[in-house]
Amino acid sequence: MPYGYTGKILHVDLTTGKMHVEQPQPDFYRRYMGGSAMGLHYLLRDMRAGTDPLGADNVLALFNGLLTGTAISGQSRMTSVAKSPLTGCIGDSQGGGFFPAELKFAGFDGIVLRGQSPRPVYLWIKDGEFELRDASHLWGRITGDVEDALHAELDDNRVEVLQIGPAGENLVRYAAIMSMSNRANGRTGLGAVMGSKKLKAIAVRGTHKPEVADKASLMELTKWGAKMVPTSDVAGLGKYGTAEVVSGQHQAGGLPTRNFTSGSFDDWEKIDGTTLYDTRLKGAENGQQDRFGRDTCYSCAVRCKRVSEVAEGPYKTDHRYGGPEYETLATFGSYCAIDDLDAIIRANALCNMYGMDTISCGATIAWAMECFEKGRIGLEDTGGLTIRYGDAAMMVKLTEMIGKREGFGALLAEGSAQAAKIIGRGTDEFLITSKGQEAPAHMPQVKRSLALVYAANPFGADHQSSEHDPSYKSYPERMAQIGLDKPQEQLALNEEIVRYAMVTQHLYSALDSINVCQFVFGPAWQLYDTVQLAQAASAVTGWNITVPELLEVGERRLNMMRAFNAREGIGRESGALPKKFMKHPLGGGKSDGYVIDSKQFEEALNTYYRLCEWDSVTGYPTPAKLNSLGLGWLVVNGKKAPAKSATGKRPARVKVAAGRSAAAKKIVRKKPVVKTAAAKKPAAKKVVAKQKPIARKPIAKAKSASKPKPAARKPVVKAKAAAARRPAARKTAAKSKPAARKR
Amino acid sequence: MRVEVRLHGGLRELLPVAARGRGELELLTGAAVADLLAQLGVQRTVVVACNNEEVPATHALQDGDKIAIFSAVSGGHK
Repeated sequence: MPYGYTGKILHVDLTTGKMHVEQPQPDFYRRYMGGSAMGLHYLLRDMRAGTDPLGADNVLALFNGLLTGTAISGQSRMTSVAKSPLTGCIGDSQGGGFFPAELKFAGFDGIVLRGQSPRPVYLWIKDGEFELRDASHLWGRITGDVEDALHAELDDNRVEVLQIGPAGENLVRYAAIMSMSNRANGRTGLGAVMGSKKLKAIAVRGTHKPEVADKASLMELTKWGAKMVPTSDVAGLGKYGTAEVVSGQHQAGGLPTRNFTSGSFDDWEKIDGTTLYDTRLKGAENGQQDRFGRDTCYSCAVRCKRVSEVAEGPYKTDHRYGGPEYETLATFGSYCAIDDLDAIIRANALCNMYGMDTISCGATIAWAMECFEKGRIGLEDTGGLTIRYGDAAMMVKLTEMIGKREGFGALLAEGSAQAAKIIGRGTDEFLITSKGQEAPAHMPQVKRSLALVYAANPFGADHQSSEHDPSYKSYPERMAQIGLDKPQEQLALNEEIVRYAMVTQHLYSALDSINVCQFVFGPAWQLYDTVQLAQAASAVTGWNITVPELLEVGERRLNMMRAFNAREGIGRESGALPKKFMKHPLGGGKSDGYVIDSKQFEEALNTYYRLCEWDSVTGYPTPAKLNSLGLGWLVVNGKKAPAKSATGKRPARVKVAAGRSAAAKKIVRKKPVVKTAAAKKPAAKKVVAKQKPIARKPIAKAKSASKPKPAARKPVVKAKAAAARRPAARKTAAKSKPAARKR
Repeated sequence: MRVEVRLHGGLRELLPVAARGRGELELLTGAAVADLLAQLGVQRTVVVACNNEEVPATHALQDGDKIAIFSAVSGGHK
């Protein structure tokens, strides 16, 4: 078992209640490293094409990463992957908080969930032991109540709870998976997948910290980061949160306003991060907001999370539901032409109570507002509701109606793209979606590489899948670490910008596989640069991880996602940009008149597919590319495919061939400076034993006799909780938590 | 010469709290953006707009210019 990992993955069949523990070989960990790529392995191995995203056969995989649970900032992250009920494509979302670290302390690198429970259940994991418990009493309750109830029921308020809210139960197609009642695996609707499985929550408690190969080097990096935060480029991000970005976006003409009609919002100061800090963070009335109004994830020195509260009035809000991020301020604010900060805080809290993605929710409401303003929908559609830009009370009302799937909210709960299909009447003209997912608050008209990424990203429009255009010029030394040394002028969409988009996409993809925070690790303004990430990963694992290897891990994950979509018959044709980006020039502000040239965009897309070495017509990964990434097992030919896609398309089968991808080879190798003398640990001893019940009222226990999956390529064993534990001394999590949770 | 400055986000802390990121600065004639940043004590990577147009550090300032300074962070989460 490699250092840094627990070496164990929990498999849960919610239909039968059977559970077992898998202990993969070290090469499995080195190939995927964690997070998204590791989860994708199981989706691609075990799911058939055409699976109903809300059916029993969808696989929901939750994985933390190789740094998770160590002391370095930005490591407590968890990725969820499944087929998305919002897009029909691969679904993928990351979240932070304390749950990811706690899951590792409890003994698991990930959880793979299959099937559908006949009744609501929750999964209780404590120090390697696990069971399913009845959750009927939790069903229908909002996140804060469920968290309190589980703390009481389990008699331990240090239990971390990952859960869905009523929106997930109601299968809102952009329902989120929540933790701490204010952290979200928000995007692509994976909360609805969890809801379809009748899995209300996963409660975790653990006391075993991961073992690190080179503690001294990791500690050196950890201390360096903590020391540098106040003078680093993330200092403002820490103090003012992502909300700090509002002013810069407005100045650049990149603050989406009135459903992407403009990039300039006249009232931006009312929703800016400094206003939020001065007036709405907990403790602001006494100047104590740095103490009470900022929250963090496990052992992170940046502390970028907001704790806001509205003490009275129609938008009174409990601070336990956190505070709005930049995306939320934009989607519920400028997208909807709303400058009422209290209303936005309330809408954010409702999303956290009900468990919904604030981006898709706010953007869908903004779309409805434009449809109403332009007369494409009327009172007969909305159930008598007048839905206009600037109406804060209506925005808040609709948010709650969506969470409850009430009235017009039931239609909006389908997402704007699906709602436009249902309504018709040209309402699709106002969609701001890619692959059916609502676009986040960064404008491709202003940052042109995002046009490519929004279109080509396998899970739809996403702002955290690549570095944005301005960073190329602003951070030349760091960009050179990943082979980018030809910064381009603003608004360029030439081959070099395409290469920039692709290479940074590979790196961001690696960040989501190693599973680290993209505010702490990254290629530009982040606290740690790419070489330092390789150093940290090497220090933890004892492997000699290089920057090219990181990029290859990212490229591998991206190709796995592409392969997933290809099986569904989803390829290049799905990458159309919203019509508004191409046909309606922005109005007002710095970006007045900006529009994306469709011919230039198509040429850039051709270049992108060529550089990615994907089929330029279908957009599918080629057999040669898959083979070069060690993914030959994903390649199928026209003879017999293991999974037939919805459109009957089947890629070709070729033999697996190991090797590094061409893109990764181009990068100059830089060896990490950390010592890597500590070699891999011997593979964990495999033990088959009965799982110990820890429940008082179990409704389904793990059975040691459960059969391994027939398709399994890795040894699948049932493990007694303590069987694979390393003998090294461990501290309890209670002592190890450097950052105490606030409630 | 005098220029008007507006420091956004966390950069506002380079001016007295009461100024809330706004102020006027006296500079030597012919000063460039880099001189202004040095006078303010800016150490982070920033984006500078002069009269609403992004300018490089070498840009020569004029009396009465309106300068806005932003951190270069471009992310945005959730």
